[in-house]
Amino acid sequence: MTTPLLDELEHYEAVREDLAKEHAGEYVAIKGTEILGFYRDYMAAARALYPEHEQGSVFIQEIKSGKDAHVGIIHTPGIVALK
Amino acid sequence: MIPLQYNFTTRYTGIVNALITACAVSVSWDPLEEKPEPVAVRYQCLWDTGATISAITKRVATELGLPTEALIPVQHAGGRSANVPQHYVNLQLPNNVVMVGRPVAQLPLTNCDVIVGMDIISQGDFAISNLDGKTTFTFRMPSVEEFDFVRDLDAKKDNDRTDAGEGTQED
Repeated sequence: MTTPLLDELEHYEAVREDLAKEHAGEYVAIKGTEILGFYRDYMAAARALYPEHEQGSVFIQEIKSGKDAHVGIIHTPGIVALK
Repeated sequence: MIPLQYNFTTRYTGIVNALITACAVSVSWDPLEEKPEPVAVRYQCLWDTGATISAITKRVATELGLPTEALIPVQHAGGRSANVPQHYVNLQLPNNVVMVGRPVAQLPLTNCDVIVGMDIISQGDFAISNLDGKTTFTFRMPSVEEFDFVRDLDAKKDNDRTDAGEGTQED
């Protein structure tokens, strides 16, 4: 099964550094390879997008610059179940 | 004047090795909008200064019907997980502060359904003490004071010296 929003993630990663030059800290919405808009926060994005688009069909992410900017780190051992 | 702040304190009956409180999670929703308030469900929540992000389990995502709205990589003790689903939620903390539209990663957590990470903890003042073998955990938002136990002790020593000096008579 294809992971939902994977295409959108790949497109975001491809253009992220360019977007960050002008829009760092804003939220971008991407569907396929189309950038639907930039928003000041998630709620502004949701208000603008979800009357038209189905929730879960749009990739929404805060724009950050840097290779590992979006990596979440859980240092504490034992709280994430290992597969 | 006391600045506006939202506080809570949890007192445990002994020393604890994990800070767990209740919290409530709902779909993301703007309280300023005139829409029916969505149901907020209470879960056990671990406050984790070792987590850079906040997280929920799949159970929470399923019960609340949260759509995946982004994918992120997460580094944890078991290695690195790529393409972890990210949701946006409203998170109600024990001090009745509602964090609106917060990103949370969906992870297979053990022993709790929600992790409050440093993305939220860093927005307030956070302290634990363990006096008399009982852990007390307190948190407030926003941050209103710097904690500095060294400075506090130095100030107490200065006061003690001043008090002692006032009580002595020189010949």
